[in-house]
Formats: sequence, structure tokens, C-alpha cells
Amino acid sequence: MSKKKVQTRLAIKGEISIDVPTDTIFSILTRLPVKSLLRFKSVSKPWNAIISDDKFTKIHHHQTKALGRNKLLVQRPSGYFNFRDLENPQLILMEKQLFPLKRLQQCAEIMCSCDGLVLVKDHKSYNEYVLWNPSTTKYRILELCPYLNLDNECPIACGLCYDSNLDDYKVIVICKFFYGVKDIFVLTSLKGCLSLYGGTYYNEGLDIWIMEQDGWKLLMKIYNLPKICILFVRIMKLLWCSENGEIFFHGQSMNQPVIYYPKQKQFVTVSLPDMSRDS
Amino acid sequence: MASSTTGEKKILTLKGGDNEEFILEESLVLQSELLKNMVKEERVSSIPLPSIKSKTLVKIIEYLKKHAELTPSNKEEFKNFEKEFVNVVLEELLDITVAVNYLKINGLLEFCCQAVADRIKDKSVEAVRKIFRIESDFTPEEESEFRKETPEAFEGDLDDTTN
Repeated sequence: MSKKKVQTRLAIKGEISIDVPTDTIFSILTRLPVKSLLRFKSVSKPWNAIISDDKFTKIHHHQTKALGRNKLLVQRPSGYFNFRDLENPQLILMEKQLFPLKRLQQCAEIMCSCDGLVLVKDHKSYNEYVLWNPSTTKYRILELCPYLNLDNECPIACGLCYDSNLDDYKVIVICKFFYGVKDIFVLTSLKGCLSLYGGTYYNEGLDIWIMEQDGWKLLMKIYNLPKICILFVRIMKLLWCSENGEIFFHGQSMNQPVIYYPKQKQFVTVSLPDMSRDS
Repeated sequence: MASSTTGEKKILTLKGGDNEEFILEESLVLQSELLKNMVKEERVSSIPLPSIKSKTLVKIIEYLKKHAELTPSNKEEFKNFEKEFVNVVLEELLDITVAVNYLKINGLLEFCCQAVADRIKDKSVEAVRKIFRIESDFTPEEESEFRKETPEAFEGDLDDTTN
């Protein structure tokens, strides 16, 4: 019945019918958020074919990188992951999600993220890593490199980066806490690049390095840490660097986010009014 | 080489779908890759564009003129113009997008595609089908399968309107 209705409407409107060519549809779709794309897969078979195509996924991914809003991912004691808008001064809650893999819901620990992909680890195990894409709710359990024996050594930190030669992502793990006698460094991902941060363990300073196309570059020096370096990097994880150079830290034990403002040389704890509601 | 910059300006005629004629400076249409090639290779002075409605052509020419006047000092003004430019009913916006795609005006095409995407991102599947005049070729079973697979994509207030 409904089909007939559609046909009559098409017949009436047929004279001003616009035929949108496939390449135009393609460019429009690459600019849609993932949620809309998942819904529009059911528009028709041709639309589904475009959206499900690998080439489309890649172009969409690059497009989103260029346009996307930066979100802060915060883990809550309830097992929910909250996504907050980093471009909003109040860091408003955009959405929340449970980790799709049930057995890891309570013990998943965020290691780092890059281009919207999140590397998660079972915090009770040393060798179970999962790569998660919250936009599509898809995940993949990573097989560890057979030469790496992580049973005895707990990795201190992980970095995730995109390798344009391979057109794929790489996970980098470091296991040592101390380098030299008194330097400690931790790995993460910043601005889509691999990043290291740390310093001399008893100093109240922190160096942040980032690996760009032409090698390692010192991104920032912070001189006035609230604690000595070794204590600071043990409890705070460096999560994100904004375009203005503000650095976001997050406490390992689900504390509130802390932002470092390089111009004022100040650490500010962000209080999130709706933080208690979602726990 | 650049001796004729102040010389007489070449004039070109564009013919819209309803045979309405638009006379404009040739330099303006060079923003369109399609027309640029036609002008350069075939040295034509009149180009028929039967697939483009005159109303759409008027809009596009308006854009070409504004874009040609763009300087670093009136950037803000141009941005406002762009915003107003796509502030039309969705059907008209799609007409413009399709024509711009045909004419290959790259900057404007990207802008139009983004505008269409912004307008349809919260629409329901049914609304999108109406807008793009698509008849579903899925069975009701297949359709409910999509809903089961990604229920979160169908949640929330979806917009059923087509404009």
C-alpha cells in the first residue's frame, strides 16, 4: 500500500525531478556524522553500498578529521564512558556509552586515542588490548606481537599513531619506567602524533615531546607541576592538547580533569556540574 | 603577455534550461572548470545549459560575482553571503548543488555539500527518501534488521520534514 503511495507522489513531482548524481551523493555523505550514516544505510541499496564501501570509510575518516569536534573521553565508575565537548568551556556531556565488549565493561582502561580510535586495555591483564571506535561502536581485539613477552613486564604506556606508508595505525608500547638514572618518560598520542612526556623524577618540571614528520620536537616545558614529576605522571594522564596549547590531564583514579594553561602557566581543575549525576 | 589586462572584456552568454539568456563577463565563468574548458578549447561565445533551471543559474551567477570580488578585507561579508546563499528550501539547495557539481565549481561544491549534509543529518530515513526521491528497495524485514543492528542510530528526535 505504502509503495503505491510513493509511486503516485513520484509521478506528480516527476516533472521537477532532480537526479542527484552518485558523486554528489558521495560527497554529501562523506560530510555526515557516523550516527546519520548508520541510519541512512537503510535508505536504499545503492546508499548502503556507498556507505559500506571501504574507500568511502577512508575518505569519511579524513573528512571528519578535518572537521570533527574534539571530544574528551572520561571513564566513570559506573562503567560508562562519557564523551564531553572540548570546544565548549563547560565541557558539556555529549553522549555516554558502555564498552561494547561485556567482559571488559568494568575493567577497561583507556590507554590513549588517536583520530577517534581508542586503545583500551584490560587493567587486570598485561596482554589484552582492544582497539575501539566509539563512533561506530565497533571494536577489535589486538593480537600481540609474538616476540613481545608482556607476561612479566607491565607496559608503562602506549602510543597510537597513523603510519601513512602503511595506511594503518600502529600501537607502540614502552615497558621501562626509568630511562638513564633519573629520567622517566611516558608515551601517549597528541595531535594525531606519537608523544612523550616526562622529566627528571624529583623535579617539578615536565617536558612534552611530539613526533612530527621530521622528527621529535619539544612541544612544551611545564615548570611548576603541583607534585614532583614521578608522582605527577603516576597519577595524571596527559590526554589532549588544544589548538591554543592548553594541555588536558586526567587523574588515573577517575578524578576531575585538570587543564594547564601555558600562557598563565597555571593548572586549573575543571568541575563538571553533571559529573555526579552519571556515576 | 599581460598586455591585454585592461583591454576590452570578453562577454559570454549562458542559456538556462528555460531558454533565458544571461550575459556576463567571460572572466567570471572561469571559476567553473567545465565552462573554462569550453571557452578555452572551443572559443564559444554562447553556452547552452539545458539541464540547469534559470532560477538556479541566477543564484550561481550571483555567487560567481561575489566570489570574484572576494578580498582579504571583505572576508567576513563573504562568509555572511555564503550563509544566506544556502539559506533556501532544501529542494532548491539540491538543485544548486547538482548544477554546481555539473559545472565543476569546486569551492562552492564543497560548501553546498556541507550545507546539504548539515540539513539532513537529523532527518529520518523516510524524509531522506522523499528529499532525494528514492524508493526503498529493501524489504520490511531487511529494514528492521538495520534498526536491530544499530538501534542508537534511530533513537532521538528525528526530523520528518523535507525542507
